[in-house]
Amino acid sequence: MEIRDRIRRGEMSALEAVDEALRQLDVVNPRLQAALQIFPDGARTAAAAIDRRLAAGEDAGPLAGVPFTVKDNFCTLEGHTTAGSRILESFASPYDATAVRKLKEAGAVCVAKTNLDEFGMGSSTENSAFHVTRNPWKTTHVPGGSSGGAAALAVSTGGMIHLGSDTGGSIRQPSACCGASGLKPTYGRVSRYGLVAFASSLDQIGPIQSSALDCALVLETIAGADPMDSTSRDLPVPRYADEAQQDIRGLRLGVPAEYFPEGIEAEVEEKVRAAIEVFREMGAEVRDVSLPHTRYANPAYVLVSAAEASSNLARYDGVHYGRRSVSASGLVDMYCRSRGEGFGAEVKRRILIGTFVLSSGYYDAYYLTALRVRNLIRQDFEKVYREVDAVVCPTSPVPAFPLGDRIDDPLKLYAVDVLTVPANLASLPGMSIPCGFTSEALPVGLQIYGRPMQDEIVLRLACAYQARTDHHLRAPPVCGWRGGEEGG
Amino acid sequence: MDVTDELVAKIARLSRLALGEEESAEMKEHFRKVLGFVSELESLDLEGVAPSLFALDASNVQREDEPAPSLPAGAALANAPAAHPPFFLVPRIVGDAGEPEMSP
Amino acid sequence: MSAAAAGRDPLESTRFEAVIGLEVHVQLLTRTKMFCRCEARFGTEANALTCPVCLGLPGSLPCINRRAVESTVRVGLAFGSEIPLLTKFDRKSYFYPDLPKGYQISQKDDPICKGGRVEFFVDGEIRVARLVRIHLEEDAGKNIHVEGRPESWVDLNRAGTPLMEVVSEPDLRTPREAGDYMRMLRQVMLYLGVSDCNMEEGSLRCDCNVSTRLRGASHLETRTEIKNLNSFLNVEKALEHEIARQIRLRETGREAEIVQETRLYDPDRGETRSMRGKEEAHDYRYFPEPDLAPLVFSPEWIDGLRATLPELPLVRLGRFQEDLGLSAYHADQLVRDKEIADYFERCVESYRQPQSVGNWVLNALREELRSRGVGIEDIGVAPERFAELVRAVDDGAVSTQKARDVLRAMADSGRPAAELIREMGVEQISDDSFLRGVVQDVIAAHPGPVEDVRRGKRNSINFLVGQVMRRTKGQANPAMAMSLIDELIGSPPAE
Ligand SMILES: [Mg+2]
Ligand SMILES: [Zn+2]
Repeated sequence: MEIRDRIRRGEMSALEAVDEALRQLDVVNPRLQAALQIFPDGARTAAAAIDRRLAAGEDAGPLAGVPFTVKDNFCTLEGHTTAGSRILESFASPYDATAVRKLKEAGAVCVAKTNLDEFGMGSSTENSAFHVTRNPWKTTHVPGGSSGGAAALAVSTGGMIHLGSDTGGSIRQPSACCGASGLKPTYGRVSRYGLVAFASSLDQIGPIQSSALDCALVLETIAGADPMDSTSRDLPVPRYADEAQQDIRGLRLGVPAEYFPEGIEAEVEEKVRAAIEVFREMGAEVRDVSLPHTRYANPAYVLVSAAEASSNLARYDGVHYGRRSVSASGLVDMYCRSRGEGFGAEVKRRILIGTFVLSSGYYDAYYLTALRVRNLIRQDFEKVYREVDAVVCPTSPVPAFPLGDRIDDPLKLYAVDVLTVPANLASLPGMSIPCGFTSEALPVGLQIYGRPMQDEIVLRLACAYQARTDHHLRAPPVCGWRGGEEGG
Repeated sequence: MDVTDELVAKIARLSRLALGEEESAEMKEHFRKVLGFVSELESLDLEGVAPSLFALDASNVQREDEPAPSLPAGAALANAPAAHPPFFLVPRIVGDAGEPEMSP
Repeated sequence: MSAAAAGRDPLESTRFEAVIGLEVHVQLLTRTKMFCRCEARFGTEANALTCPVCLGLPGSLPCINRRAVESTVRVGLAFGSEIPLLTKFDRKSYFYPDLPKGYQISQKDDPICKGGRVEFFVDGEIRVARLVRIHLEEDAGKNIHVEGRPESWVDLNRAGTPLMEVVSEPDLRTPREAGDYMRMLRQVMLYLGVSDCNMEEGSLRCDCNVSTRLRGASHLETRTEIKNLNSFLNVEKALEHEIARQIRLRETGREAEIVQETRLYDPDRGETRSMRGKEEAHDYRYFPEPDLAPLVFSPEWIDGLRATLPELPLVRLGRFQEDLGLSAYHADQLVRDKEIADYFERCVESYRQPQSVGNWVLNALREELRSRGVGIEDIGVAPERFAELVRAVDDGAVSTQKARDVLRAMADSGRPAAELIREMGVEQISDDSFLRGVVQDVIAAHPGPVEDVRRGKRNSINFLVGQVMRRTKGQANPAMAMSLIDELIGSPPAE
């Protein structure tokens, strides 16, 4: 993380770093609409305070002065926490999410909150209640989602940290679409406290950066047990940045045939297979493996995530916070209208499906069945991990698609998650890094799955690949960090 | 299974979601599609496969019974759409008998 | 007075019997709420004891209060429940303003305790109600309906406080049994120290499921549920009215009008009535709470908690009767309050006269506590000292009457009985030869009354005793004085 080192060496002040970040956002954001809120005043005040501490010779933290953005489904004391929804448009959180607090305690400065599909439900960021975000490589295309804002900024700006969340691929798939490096850590590795819940058993927080090494640095800061999250694991946090730079020679990689399904775009398959060859050249051992239940993962995911979402979103009822309909008569009508007016179409779809699968008479047939399939998916991986240390495959069967292309057909949109949801169902770490570009100059994502709580192996493979290749260094046409002129 | 208007209406009511006519029709169509999509699971033999109830194989995560400060005064109501400090305000909760309804 | 309050069975004269099961909600005595660290207490400004977790704010997550779990296990052990090694929490979904998350974290399939039995007394006879389960959940907040206003107010201070639910089998047959069952629950909770069981503050709330059927039948008829009763008396009265209503319908051939529904008891009008005309079918959509890991108990841990159980009221009751020779009535009175019973036992350890110690504890001591408005731990009279006082009374060293003054002085000063008896000049003179001399003097000085006594006028003996008391400044043992007068006058024995 170059900017961190420059501030440390005194070549740059925290305020200058923040001003630079704000300048880049000024250039990029009008084109990409990646940020929902930018906090110039708050960020400059916080940066000035860091500078005072540095000037006084104090330890201002390992990330002193580094600007960061968070997806707007993280609770922050800054601004509003909207989750991309009208229903929370004016909600101001009285607390910071644990991951946000940890970044701040490490000296990082919150500069913006990024766009997302409402409550994280989507794969294109077109489901944001506020506006769509555009792909920095091709602004007629989606950035992926739901962490589309973060992924777009990760490649079009420099020197910032970006946090996203991933329930079924929401870090990895937009990273693939935008050519960013995005890590979904093992479930339980990072506290979810303060992350607006979509599906509690699947949600996980992670970084989206322009390099895997930066992801390692961020993970080092945000990982660890949190007494506020009973599902965070109380296991030591490795020095991920050091671990990530270890040699990969001898690591065994599995390539599952099921992850190159019918309908995968030829260019995607070609780039991913080429990337796997690079690993082989670097001394990793590559072998074919089978994850036979892969095709059932997406249907199971649709049911499990909707069930949990229907429950997690019950709290948005217009009583204690959030939007309340003004046209209601009586309590029940107030509930129905507030929620009917406050939620977007996709959110309503998922709430209804979720309510249905949990309701009496359908629970066993749908919800429990999905959980049994979830077990099969887990067992698939357990079996494969007896033979290999990691699995490599495409992140998404397709690269970024044109805005509006899939939004009218939810199932068509769900289909792009097919290769990412297994990581969430099996609680595994997963990462996407760019491994080439299509003939349309759109990035292709390579996905790396690791064993539970072996995030460092995933990072090591990603770093090794990036030490050998330069896809992650390519700058998109919309790029704020080169002084504002547009290349490409 | 057969997705009817009644089913969609019942689920919408249970979800406390007001749906317009057009929306209801669209949701019905969506139900059909999703149930078709997940019907693939029916082909699996799940005999003897336990449901994976928890994402984590951890247990006994508990905390000590030690108080921590609550939110500062007024913070609870700061986001309330309607309040009669120090209370939240809601439309009167009235049952069919015309008297306050009780929690279910 | 109602039949139940009078202890009669309202069903005695009918062909029908009632089948009653109770769901008792007990507020646990913890410092913090069930899933967050807000203080669990009352009497603060509305909504002041809240945080992101108990307000159900976006992003907040629950954490299990260990003490609440332990308390529930201890209650289960006390009632002989099975404590499964794995338990988990589930979400129960419904919309209501006092429920900020739109779901209550409760337990469905894997409660902390399964089965068990509660033994209790009804009119001196032992009864048993089996338990279905005991589970742990979070309480809701409070909705306040203000008369004449088009709105309701919501206070979430209680939201998220730990609540234990004890569910009985439908083993109870009369309102009186239901009341006594609930009294025993309360007693045990107090013994275990898991709840203050303060009824006024709603620490103990009860839902009653009740049906009626022909006496001797074994099937279950349609039941109604009476919700949210918060006193023993209301439980008994509500059941009486509801049972009477159902029987009236049965006797007039209108049993079809008994429908499964929730009813509300109105103590002012003395009736139960249906709460909702067209009740929306509830579908709570239970599913395992994904934000909490399951609880896995080890047998050793459970045994460790078992070792913390005090002797329970019924066991103690038996011991007081058998080992200490107390009457059932006295034993029952003594065991009701664990602190009183503990105190009594310590007194008996230093003065082994359970009867008189028991009497003094139940009467003089309890009265002193009442008049001071303090608990036994705050009275400032150690049990050993209290035992000395009782011994002094039994030995005739102080009169029953004066002993109460001495007790008050002991509580005021914390000093021993003997010292105070001397200092207050209330030593009772029971010395035979001394009293004999005084009585002889009194007889000599009052020939008239003496003559009256000889003729059988018993009233006059009181005068003579009074004279003895006067000459001894009230310290003579009055019983001894009287028998000496009789002896020395040679009067006919009292009728
Ligand atoms: Mg309950
Ligand atoms: Zn709280």
